[in-house]
Amino acid sequence: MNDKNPIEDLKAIRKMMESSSKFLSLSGLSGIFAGLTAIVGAYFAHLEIKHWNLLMPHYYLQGRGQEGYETLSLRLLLIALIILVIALSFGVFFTWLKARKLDKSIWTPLSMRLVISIMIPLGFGGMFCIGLYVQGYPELIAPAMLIFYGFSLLNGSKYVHNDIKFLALCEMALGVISLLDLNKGIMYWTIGFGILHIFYGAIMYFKYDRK
Amino acid sequence: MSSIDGLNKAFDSRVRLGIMSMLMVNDWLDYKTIKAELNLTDGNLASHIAGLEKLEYIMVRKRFVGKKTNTSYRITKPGKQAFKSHINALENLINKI
Repeated sequence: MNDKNPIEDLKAIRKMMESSSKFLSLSGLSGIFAGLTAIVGAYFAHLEIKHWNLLMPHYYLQGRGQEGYETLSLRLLLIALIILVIALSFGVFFTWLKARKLDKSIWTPLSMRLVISIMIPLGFGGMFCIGLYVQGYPELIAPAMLIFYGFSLLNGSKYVHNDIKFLALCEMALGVISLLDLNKGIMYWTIGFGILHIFYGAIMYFKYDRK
Repeated sequence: MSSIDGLNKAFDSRVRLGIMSMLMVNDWLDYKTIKAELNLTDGNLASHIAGLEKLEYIMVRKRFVGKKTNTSYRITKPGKQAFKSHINALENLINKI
C-alpha cells in the first residue's frame, strides 16, 4: 500500500508539470522597464519629428527634400534600435536576477524554445516592417509592429504564464485600431509598447514576483 | 502492477512521479534537464530511469550533439496511460476522504 499522502503526490505532479514546461523566471520588472524605455524612446522620436517638421521647408527650398526625409528615417531607426537593445538588456537582467533568486538557470532548453518561438514571428515581422518602409508605407509600420509583436507573444505564451495571452491580444487589437488612425502611429506605438508593458509588468510583478 | 486502490507501484517514489510529470508535458527531455529540475544525483536518477524504461513507460534516444553524447527521454503511450490512471486513482483516494 502507498502510505504517502495522495494530496501531496498530486501537488508534486502539478508543480513538476508546470515548472518543467513553463519558464517562470520571466520577471514582471522586465515588462515595466521595457515600457519605460519605450516611452522615453517615443518621446525622443517625437522630438526628432517635430524638429524635422521645422527644418523640412528649408530642405525643400534647397531641393534636398529626399535627403531630409532619409536623415529623419535613419535617426528614427537608430532610436528604435537603441530602445530595443536597452529594453532587451533590462529584460534579460531582471529575469536573470529572478532566476538566481529561484535558484534556477536562465539558459535552459525551455527558455531556448521560448526565445525561438518568439523570434520566428518577430523576425519575419521585422522584415515585413523593413519592406513597408522600402516600399514607401512608413505609416503602416507602427500597426504592423504591434500586430506582429502580439503574434510573437501569443506564440511564446505556451511557455510562460497564461496571462501573457491578454497582453498579446491587447497588442494585436491596438494594431488593428491604429490602422483607423494612421496619423497617430507614434501614439499607438507608445500605448502598445510603453503603457501596456508597464501595466502588464506591474500586474505580473505583484501577482508572481512579490512573494 | 496495480494494487487494490488502483495506484501504480511503479510510481511510488517521488522521483518517478517527477520524471513522469515532466515527460507528460514535454516532448523529448534530456537527462541533464531532468536531473537539474529534480535536483538529483546521477546514481539516483539513473536507477529510476532504468526502472521506468524496463516497464516501457519511457523511451530513450541517445545521439551525438557535436562530440558529446546526448541522452533524451520521452513518455510512451502505455506510460501515458499508466500515469493517467495513477493520477485518477490518487484523485479517487482524495474524494473518498
